[in-house]
Amino acid sequence: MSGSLEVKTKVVDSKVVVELAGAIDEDADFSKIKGLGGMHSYEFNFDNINAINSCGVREWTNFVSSLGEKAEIRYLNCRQIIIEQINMVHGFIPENASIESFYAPYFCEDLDKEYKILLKSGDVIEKKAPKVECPDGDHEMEFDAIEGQYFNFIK
Amino acid sequence: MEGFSVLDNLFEPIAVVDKKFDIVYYNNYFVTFTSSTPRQIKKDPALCEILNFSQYDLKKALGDTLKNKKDTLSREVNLSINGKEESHTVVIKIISLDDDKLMLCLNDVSVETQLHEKYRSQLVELRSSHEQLMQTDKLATIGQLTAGISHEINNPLTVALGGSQNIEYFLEAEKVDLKEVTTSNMMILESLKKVVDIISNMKSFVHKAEDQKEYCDVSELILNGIKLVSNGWAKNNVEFNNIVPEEAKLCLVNKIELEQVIVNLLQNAVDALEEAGTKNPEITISLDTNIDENCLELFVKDNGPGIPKDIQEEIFKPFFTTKKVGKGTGLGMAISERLINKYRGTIEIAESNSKGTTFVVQLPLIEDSSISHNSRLVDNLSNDTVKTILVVDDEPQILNIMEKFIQEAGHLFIGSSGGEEALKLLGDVEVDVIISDYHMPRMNGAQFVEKVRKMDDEVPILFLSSADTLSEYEKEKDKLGISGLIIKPFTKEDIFSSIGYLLTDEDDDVTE
Repeated sequence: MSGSLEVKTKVVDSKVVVELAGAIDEDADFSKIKGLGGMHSYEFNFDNINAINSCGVREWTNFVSSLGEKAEIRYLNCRQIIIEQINMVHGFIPENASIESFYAPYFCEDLDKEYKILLKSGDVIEKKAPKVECPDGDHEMEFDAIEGQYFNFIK
Repeated sequence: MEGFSVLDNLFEPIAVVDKKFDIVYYNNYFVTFTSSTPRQIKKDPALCEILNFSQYDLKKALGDTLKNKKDTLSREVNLSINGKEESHTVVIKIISLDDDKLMLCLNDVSVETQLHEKYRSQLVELRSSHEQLMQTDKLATIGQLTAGISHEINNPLTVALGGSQNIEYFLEAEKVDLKEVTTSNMMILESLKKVVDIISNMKSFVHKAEDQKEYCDVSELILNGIKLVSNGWAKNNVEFNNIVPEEAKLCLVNKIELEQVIVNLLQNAVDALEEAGTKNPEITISLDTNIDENCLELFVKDNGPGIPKDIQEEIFKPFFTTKKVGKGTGLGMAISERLINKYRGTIEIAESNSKGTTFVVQLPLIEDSSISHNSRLVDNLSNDTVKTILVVDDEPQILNIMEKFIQEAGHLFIGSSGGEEALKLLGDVEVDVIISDYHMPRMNGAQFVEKVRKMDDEVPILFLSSADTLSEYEKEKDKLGISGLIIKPFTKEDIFSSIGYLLTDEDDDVTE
């Protein structure tokens, strides 16, 4: 892993909004956010995360647990690599955290093209992929992963 | 696929292929790991199309396992997935199943490999920075010392010049007074020798010390350190008390490094006395063995104003200094601590108050140091042919040369500087041969062997001494069970043959 992690933070009322970009690995530095500990709620945007490894997962899990059990934590725009880690690692998404939105893989057979579609957790009922139309056509696309495994994180 | 569902949720990527190497089963993590989808695998189930190895022939490995019905395990190989740039380092296990099927399990060791490489390169960087820091400190110290030394070289050179002018005057007289000429010549020689000593000490101090340990007499290092530093402080009338021990106090260290520590301690003491303007400034240096704590103790005590309690913890931190700008780098004590710790010793403030400060340096006795130092150098320590040989001698040159010879012979060398220390060691460590000097202070060879025989009457013992002890050897050998005498000066062949003879046939006496 060679990418470094960029962290941008802003405070809106009593909510800390964090945008993460780059790689979450053994060099990931969350001190900027740690300095804002003790706030009521946190929102993490993973839209620009391009890589994560097991060391990064460990760093993240330790960091997010340090925010405390009382903080409200939301994860937004989780990339597929984040969802894969969430499904594998206990503690990546603690009890006081929820996933508001995430990317899911779909495939358009007509155009023979893959898409990553942004879904809200509420769109998934009983761990079944919602029907999605191709953004470049009007045909329904096929969910391109194993449903039971991919949506395992949905409570 | 039936029968494999138990593997569905495992965290290792697993796939099962048929004899055409097409995937017939894969678990959830195989899809995640290979960044593929059920659709893609269904479309093209050829395993070798999904997994691309640069230096591993997967198809051949699968073929061999199928043919031989024998599981295979690969070395660590690089894997790129679906032609993507990012690669993983994996170990592949191929398991032969019934019905001509093969199970492929991938162990992803990418993170461990990357961390290991990162660790190694950071360690190399750290070592290099450490060496540079050491060298910088030495050069910084040299810079300070050089000013004093260049001044001090002037003094003996002036005396030498005066002496040679005297000789010129005496030779021009009608009657040459040879006694005067001789006296002046002696004066010139002594002065020039002092200059040579000063420069020689400086050269050895500046040269980057390689990490070579040897047995050395700490008293000698103290004297060298004093010579190096006293050229700066002599003008301040600091009284120096060097309490020289009655016998050699040996340690196994890099001489240059320990000398550097001593110079740092002495220079700091001088600087403290100068800065405080202490009346009748004094520095006392003493050295002793602390047998209870198994160490040598070196004390450097000054009668300065002491170090304030609130900064005593800080003085070993890098770049901490109370000296004026340009007078100190703040690295001396940090580096000294690092060097001493390297030898499993300690350096600390023993006492500090308005009457002065005492630093104490503790270094392990050579018995301990030589075991840990030499154990690392001997291959196959558990091999029966590798013997442990204890050499007891108070001369560091003898220990150094014996260590070299015994290591060359492939055995483990333990050095000891005296009978008392050796007996303490023998209480904890079993040795195969003892070679002891005869003439030693405190306890001579015969006294030492008498005590050894009370502990162990079987271990072969050789005396190491000059030819004049032949008669003592003849008298004592039967009573003490001495197997032989090695006469100084000795050669490598003398040692090899004495030890070799003992180790092959312990019943025969050997006299050189």
